[in-house]
Amino acid sequence: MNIFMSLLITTISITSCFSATEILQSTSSYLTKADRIHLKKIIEPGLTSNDVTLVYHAVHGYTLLEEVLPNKQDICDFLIKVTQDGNNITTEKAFYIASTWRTVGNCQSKSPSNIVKVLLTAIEKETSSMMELYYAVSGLTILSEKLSRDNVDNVIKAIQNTLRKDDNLWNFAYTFHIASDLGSTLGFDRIEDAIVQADEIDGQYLQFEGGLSVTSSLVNGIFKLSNTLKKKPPLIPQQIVKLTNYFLTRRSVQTPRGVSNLLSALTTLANNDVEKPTCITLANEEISISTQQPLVTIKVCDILGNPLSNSFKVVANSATRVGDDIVIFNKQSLQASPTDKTSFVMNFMEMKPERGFYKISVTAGAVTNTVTVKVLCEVVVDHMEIGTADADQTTQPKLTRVLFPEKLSQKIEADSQQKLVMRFLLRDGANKKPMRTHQAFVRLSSASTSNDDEKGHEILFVAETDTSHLYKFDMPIGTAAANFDYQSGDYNVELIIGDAVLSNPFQWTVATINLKFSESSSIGRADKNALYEDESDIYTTKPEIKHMFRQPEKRPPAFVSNLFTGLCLAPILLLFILWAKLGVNISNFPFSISAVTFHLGLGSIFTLFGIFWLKLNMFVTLRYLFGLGIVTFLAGNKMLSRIAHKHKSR
Amino acid sequence: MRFINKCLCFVAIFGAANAGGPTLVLLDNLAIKETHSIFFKTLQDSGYTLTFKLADDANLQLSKYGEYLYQHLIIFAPTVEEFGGVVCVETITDFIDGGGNVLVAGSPQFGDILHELASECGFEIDEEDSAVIDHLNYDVSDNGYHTKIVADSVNLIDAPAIVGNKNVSPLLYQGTGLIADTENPLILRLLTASSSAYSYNPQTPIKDYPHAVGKSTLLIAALQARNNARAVFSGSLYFFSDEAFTSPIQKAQGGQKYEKSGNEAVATMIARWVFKENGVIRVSAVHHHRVGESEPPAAYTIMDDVVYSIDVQKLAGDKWVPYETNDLQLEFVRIDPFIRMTMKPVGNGRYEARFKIPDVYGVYQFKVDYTRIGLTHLYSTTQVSVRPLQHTQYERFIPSAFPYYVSAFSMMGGVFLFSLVFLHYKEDTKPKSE
Amino acid sequence: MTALTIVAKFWQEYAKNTPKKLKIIDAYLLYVFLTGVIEFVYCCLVGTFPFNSFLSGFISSVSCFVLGVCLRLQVNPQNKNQFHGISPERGFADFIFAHVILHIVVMNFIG
Repeated sequence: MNIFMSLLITTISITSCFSATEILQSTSSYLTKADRIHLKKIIEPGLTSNDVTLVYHAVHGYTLLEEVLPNKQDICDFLIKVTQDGNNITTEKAFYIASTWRTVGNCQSKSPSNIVKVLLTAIEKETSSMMELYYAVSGLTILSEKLSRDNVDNVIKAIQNTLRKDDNLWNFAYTFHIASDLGSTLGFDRIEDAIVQADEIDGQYLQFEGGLSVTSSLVNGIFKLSNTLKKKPPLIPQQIVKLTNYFLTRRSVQTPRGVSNLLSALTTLANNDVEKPTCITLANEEISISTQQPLVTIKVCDILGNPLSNSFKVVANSATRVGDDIVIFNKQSLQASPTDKTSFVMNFMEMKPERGFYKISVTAGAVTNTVTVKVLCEVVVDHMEIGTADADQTTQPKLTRVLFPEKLSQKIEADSQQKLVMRFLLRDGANKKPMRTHQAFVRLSSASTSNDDEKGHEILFVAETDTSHLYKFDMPIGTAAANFDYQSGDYNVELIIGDAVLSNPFQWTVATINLKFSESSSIGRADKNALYEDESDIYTTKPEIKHMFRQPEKRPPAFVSNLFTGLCLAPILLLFILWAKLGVNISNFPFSISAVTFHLGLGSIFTLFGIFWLKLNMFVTLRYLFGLGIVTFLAGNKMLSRIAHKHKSR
Repeated sequence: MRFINKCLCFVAIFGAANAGGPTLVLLDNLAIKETHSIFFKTLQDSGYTLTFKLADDANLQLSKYGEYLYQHLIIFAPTVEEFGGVVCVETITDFIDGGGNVLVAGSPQFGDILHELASECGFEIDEEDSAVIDHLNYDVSDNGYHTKIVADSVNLIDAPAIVGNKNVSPLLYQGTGLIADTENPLILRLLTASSSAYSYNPQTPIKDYPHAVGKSTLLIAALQARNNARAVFSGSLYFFSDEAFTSPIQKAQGGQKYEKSGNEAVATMIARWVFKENGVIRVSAVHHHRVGESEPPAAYTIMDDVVYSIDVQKLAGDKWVPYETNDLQLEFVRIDPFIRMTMKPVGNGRYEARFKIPDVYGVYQFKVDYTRIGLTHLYSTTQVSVRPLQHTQYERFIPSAFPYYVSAFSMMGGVFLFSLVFLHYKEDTKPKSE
Repeated sequence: MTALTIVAKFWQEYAKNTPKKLKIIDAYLLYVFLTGVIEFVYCCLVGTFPFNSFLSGFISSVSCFVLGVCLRLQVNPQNKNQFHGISPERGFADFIFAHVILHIVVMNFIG
């Protein structure tokens, strides 16, 4: 009994372990050829640059892409020149030079001495940072320079101190790299602490805070240390897949440093000992399946695009239709393509699937993934009838058949008492059953304007179906007039049919219709339009306004004025004539001072008034008048009293 | 100290005129910083200092002690439900009222708070999970639902100041659609969809009228507020991504293949426009005086001949250069415009108008009100008073009144003569009989 | 008796019985009257454009006429009883005074 129980338990556990490994997800992408070209293009300028950093990233990237370096000799010369420059070679630069030296190969047999010196100085200095120690140790290891025991001990002590003070992710990464180069077990136990700090996004990606560079450095460090110590890193396969997924999302990186980090991380992950991630995806992103293209091609490869090493069967477990979850088949095996070791095909149309989206679950070896394909169909217009009917539905509609893709030859006439009627039926080209599409719109656009912008003068309606998938479209012209701004005229009627699973969506001009709207509403609408025209046309110039000056009063011609001026002078002559006839004389003039003064004063007053009219203002005139007036008054008084006296005495 | 203050003011004025400026970028997650690196790098190269923060960072703030910390705001966080810190829809609209510019990009999963922000700016975003679908104009790399659509460059707005040259490759777009009121004069339709496009959830059949159909579907829309602050809403964060910038483009339903989409060119131009690098004009000087003089008088008199000149400058890079156009209009307004005329350019960004002041007196304004698509609103008004003629400015001697003058003088003359005659005439020696 | 005979008789009476002083004034009055009429006719013809000028000119004529009539009344020996204590010279002085005021006003208003 006990043995039986323990056997059962063991079997169950083994099966569950097995199934646990069975449901390992694969990645859904890999480093495609296009990606390689893109990455190469980014680092290519570095090959001929004068900056050691860019040269390093270019050379490193090229090596990982397995591309041939075109100008090895030039790079060598450049490195020699930089080395001979001597001054300000930082530890980092020294590392880059050393690494590039080694990678390019047959530059010089002996490693440059001042580089080694720089690196050693960095190690011996007490105050070197972790980063400098990393560059120094890595550089020396690359140049195959052995470190003395003292130096090794110093370095290890320095690392331990730093980690105690600050164990951020970069320090972890440097520790792992340095420990691996020195062959020490230091830091292996800290790998777990580092891994725990990773962030999981959406259950699919695993990254370290700080982005591509720190994640890449940590991944490289962890695996390098584990390889050196020949121990397995404490990572479960799911974590490796999620890390890979993260790196694969960064394939559109734009900097040379990013490119070399990405490539090194992907290469490390592709070749690691724990679990090599596999990619199962649709080849060439060909998601559409139809009778013209019935094959589903699955690409199964590693993340660098290379075929997998061990042979296995690629099996499609099931294909489920999206939406109603109908299962099409179970357990179909895919045939390997003879030309491409990574492609596996299956003839999907043999299962006679209906149109729609399908999720196919594919297993290759121990990994599974789901790919989505869609089965297209061709839509066929079974029949289309268009015509008019009375809006109040008293009579049957008059419908004319139109064949796709022709246009109705005569124009349809409709006024505001009628409605436009369309009836049409669509069939699936494969199984000839009536179908509905996602988009079945009727578009009316003005036929008079040649190009249909003008703020998009188009009106779109949705055609609806009844239970038998017959599309019906009714547009009562009276009530729809508002949409057309009450503009009567010719309109093109178009039918737009589209769907994600159609191989032939179309926009079909069915007919031209002449719409007549009622007159009164069009007038009111025109007024409103005029108002809106003013408001919305603020982007154009406004009409010019010129001021109308007031017309001056009409003047008589100068001749008339002059004539009457003369006429006004005429009575003076008359006066003289009359007085002469009367025989006036001034023989009684006394010639006394007062009389003379009086008359002179009077004359001067009148002259003053004349001058006042010409030049002076009232105040001055009054002043003068005052003076003159007193004089005149006194003189006149005296004169008049003398005259009066003379009259009395007579 | 005063000198330093003056220097700082000087620098501040110049700083304001510069391209660039502190910009706050709100992201959903930091991966967006790397998937949109080309766009951000272009901005940084142009001089903008970008500060990247998560949209729900608890320390977000736009202003401190009443001063805005940033000049521009980029929100590339479509799924955010609530902004962190003190940022909310109200602070963002205050930011726009204070002159800040905003660029928002979304996706079919637009969060509610961005719906609110968009409706404050006059746009309506479709419901969640709706995308712009175009079965006739989708790209070959579409994922099956025809949501990655190809927008032809003819659907761009006709305004080089905003979108640059329209002669670019077609544009890739994947996202949701916007609609805006057609009567709103401040809204600019930067990129519209074609007639066969519509905005709906691609996985549910159409039951009610879609939110946006045909050409009224806006893909990218902009608002230039009355204080010249600019806001651009794009329904697609993908439009600005590195992938969209660098990928080739080809319509699946038969179309020419272009090696590179036009996204990078158009996105860069839109970013330049919304952050007030392009399309910014200002008035630098206004002069008005009578013909023949050089200084404005205290008050003009009616029927004076007056010369009004205005200098308009355009921002080009860091410098203000003269702005040339030939449709700048001047209005002489006393409540209603009395005169409206087009000003003549006389070179170097100076425009001149010569006219005769109307014969109606009052308080007038020289008004220049210039709105063009993509340019900041130019508004300059100078108040002058126009007085009627002084009593000494009328005609002195009116020819048609000469008879009256003559008669008045002749009356005076008549009195003088009469006084002479009347007082001193001598009677005949014949005595009068009583 | 027709109007013509009345006018002829009046004219005879006038010529015979009116003192020369008054005839002088009458001549003066006729002159002023004619000037006013001519001004009025001119205004009717061409309109009242400089209305102030027309008014001032016309009123000058009218007022001169009125003042002249007043002087004639005062100076007429037949009216001596009505002007007790006011000698004709006083009348003349008033006449001149009024003229001075009239003419300054006219000059001011004529523009």
